[in-house]
Amino acid sequence: MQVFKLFFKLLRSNFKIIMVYLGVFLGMVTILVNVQYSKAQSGYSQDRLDIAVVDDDNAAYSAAFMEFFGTKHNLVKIENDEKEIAEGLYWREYAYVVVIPKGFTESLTGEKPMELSKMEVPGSFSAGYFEADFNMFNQKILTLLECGMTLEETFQEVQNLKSVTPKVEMASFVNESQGDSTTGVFNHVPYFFISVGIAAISLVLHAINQQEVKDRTECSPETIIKRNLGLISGVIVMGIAMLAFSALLANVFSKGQAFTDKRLPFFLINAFCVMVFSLSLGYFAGMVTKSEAAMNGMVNIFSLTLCFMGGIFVPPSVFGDNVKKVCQYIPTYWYTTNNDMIGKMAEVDNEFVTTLTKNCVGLILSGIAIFVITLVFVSAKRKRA
Amino acid sequence: MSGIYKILSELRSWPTLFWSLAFPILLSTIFKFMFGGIADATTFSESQVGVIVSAEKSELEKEFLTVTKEVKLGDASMFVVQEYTDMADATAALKAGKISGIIDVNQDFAITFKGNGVAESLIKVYVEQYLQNMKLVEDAIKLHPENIEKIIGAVSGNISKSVTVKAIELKGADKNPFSQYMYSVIGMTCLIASNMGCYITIMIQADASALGARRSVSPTGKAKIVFTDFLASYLLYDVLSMMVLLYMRFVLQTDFGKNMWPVVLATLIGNFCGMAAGLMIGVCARGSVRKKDGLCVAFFMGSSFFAGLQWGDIVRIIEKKAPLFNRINPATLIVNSFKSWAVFGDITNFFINIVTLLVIGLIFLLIAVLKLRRTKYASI
Repeated sequence: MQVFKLFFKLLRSNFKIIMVYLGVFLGMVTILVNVQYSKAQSGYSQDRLDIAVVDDDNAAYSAAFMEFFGTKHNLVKIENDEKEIAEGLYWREYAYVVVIPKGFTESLTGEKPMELSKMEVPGSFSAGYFEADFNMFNQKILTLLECGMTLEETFQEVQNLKSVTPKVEMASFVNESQGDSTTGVFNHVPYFFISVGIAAISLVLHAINQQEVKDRTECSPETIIKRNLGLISGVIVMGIAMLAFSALLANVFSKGQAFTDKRLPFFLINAFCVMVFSLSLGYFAGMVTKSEAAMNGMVNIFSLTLCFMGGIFVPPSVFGDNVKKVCQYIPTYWYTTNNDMIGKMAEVDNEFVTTLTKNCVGLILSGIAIFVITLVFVSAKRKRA
Repeated sequence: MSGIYKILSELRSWPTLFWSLAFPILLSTIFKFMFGGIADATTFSESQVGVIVSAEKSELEKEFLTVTKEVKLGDASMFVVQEYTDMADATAALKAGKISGIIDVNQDFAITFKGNGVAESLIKVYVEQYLQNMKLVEDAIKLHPENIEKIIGAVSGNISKSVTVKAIELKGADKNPFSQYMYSVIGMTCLIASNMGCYITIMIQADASALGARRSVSPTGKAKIVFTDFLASYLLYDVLSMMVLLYMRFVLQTDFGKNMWPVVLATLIGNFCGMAAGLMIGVCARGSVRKKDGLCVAFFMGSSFFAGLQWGDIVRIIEKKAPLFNRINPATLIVNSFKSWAVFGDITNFFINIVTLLVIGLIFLLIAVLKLRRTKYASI
């Protein structure tokens, strides 16, 4: 029991460093859950963009534009000031700027319509859809004018067409709670497990593996098996505490719904498997590194690399094909795949069970592999010494 | 002379140097690998769509199928159409991931999805346009029946005019949407210098280390010792960060804009601010060396998090809720200085950011100097 108690004494004395990574995780999850996962995606939804309009024309076209797109996006009229526009794009006050030149409405009925202008910040995929919508809006106007309609009839007709939309619904097998805060919290839990797991276990192992401590321990009456069992028990208890904390956090963010969610057992099984992987990484880092600077470096490298490549911070849908081929071998990618699948789960079927089991087994085997590699490394180091 | 010894002693602490260098190089390589192919990911590929039609196809169904199969985006077909006569079969295909959406022609073109993605948005927009074109033809014929041929021609794409939307390019050269992450890595690299700054104070404070105790009673003034150590560490860290910058520029081909000098300047000032922050933390924080190290980690991790290292959109969220924080967070200032130059080509905003960073660094330094002056110990 001495080593078991020592484990937690060491954790307590290093709690402030561990709190740093816990703080980053809590900050990240709090903001992300409130912004991205605040409502379950129970239906199809399109992004609402902030769009700025520079209206030098101030005529029927711009009024039609504002009315047409005003219901779908947040439109704001701004002055034609290059500096103000650049500032707005720079601080992401708006994702897209449309410039309607003076005389544009008149030019629609002339030989050649004037050119519209746009500015956008690179990286907004939703702005791409808006631009497609915008082009179709212009196309409709020209089509209606070509049909012989007057400008007034054209703009009226365009507004009438706006209400013609197909009915969109989600399939019956889709869970209404998909993309909710419970899914969001569990999606980011690997960052917590990896960073805190590595930091906590490394700090304890650094303290225990100091030469003078090791020398005294070697002469102690406690056998090596008992000491290792004490350590392993400490790690297991810490892992279970982290898992329980994740479940509690999910319950808090979901306002009490997580504990009655039928998906919770699957989320916890998945989280348990990534926890095993994370703790084995912590053991590896603790045995390989000798200083806190090295430990901090390893925490950042492992947590950020695995979380980015696993599709935790950036969705896998933006990965290229070559990237996906490599990321498929990353354990956190299997975790994310499972988490998404559990989030969307409406019923348990064979395919669900097969995929979940396959990825969970992969995670556990990865953890065991890292543990074995560490043992080999430690043994080789001892032989050399 | 003592500056040279300081540099030599830092060089011997190779694990610290290694992690200061390894972390940004490894992370930027990972980001380059992940986001370097973003152009491929956003390049269009056909969407699989299921269309429910009757066994005996009506004219409307035949027409819709023909148009859907033939519609193109650029040179490529927009959709690969799978025909179904039964909703159950189509739903099974949707669940299995064989199709991205189901269009039921006989239920007013009702669409069924299982998620919210690129393919789903494309299907929705296409069906919407199809329905709106049908209504457009109907209404146009009602209003101007004499122009029926023109109407059909216009809807088929025979329009004599077109509206072009010209893009006004931003002045910067960098158009990569994920450069934000590369800049965040550099920002974090600059702030990791706080560890070195903290270490300087540990080596000067009598209650922090044996060397600090010896130096406190040495005839050399504390100001001279701190200044020399700071300068030596700063120069060494500048060399490390320049190695990282060169790696990112020439090996990873990261586009920092037309000129490298603003990037180099921003990095040097970022290093100064990071090191000064470490100095201030080391002097002001009471407690063990470990606690001070922890505070340095909290500083650079927290600052980098709010600058968008883990999640790029956080800067936008903070700009809406607490814009003042973006103006004083060192990592955000470093990232914004890169962005203002590389993306927007805006030298004014660039200088505002780096001058603010410099002022913050000087404030940290001033606090550290004032706290260090005439420190006396009742007991160490």
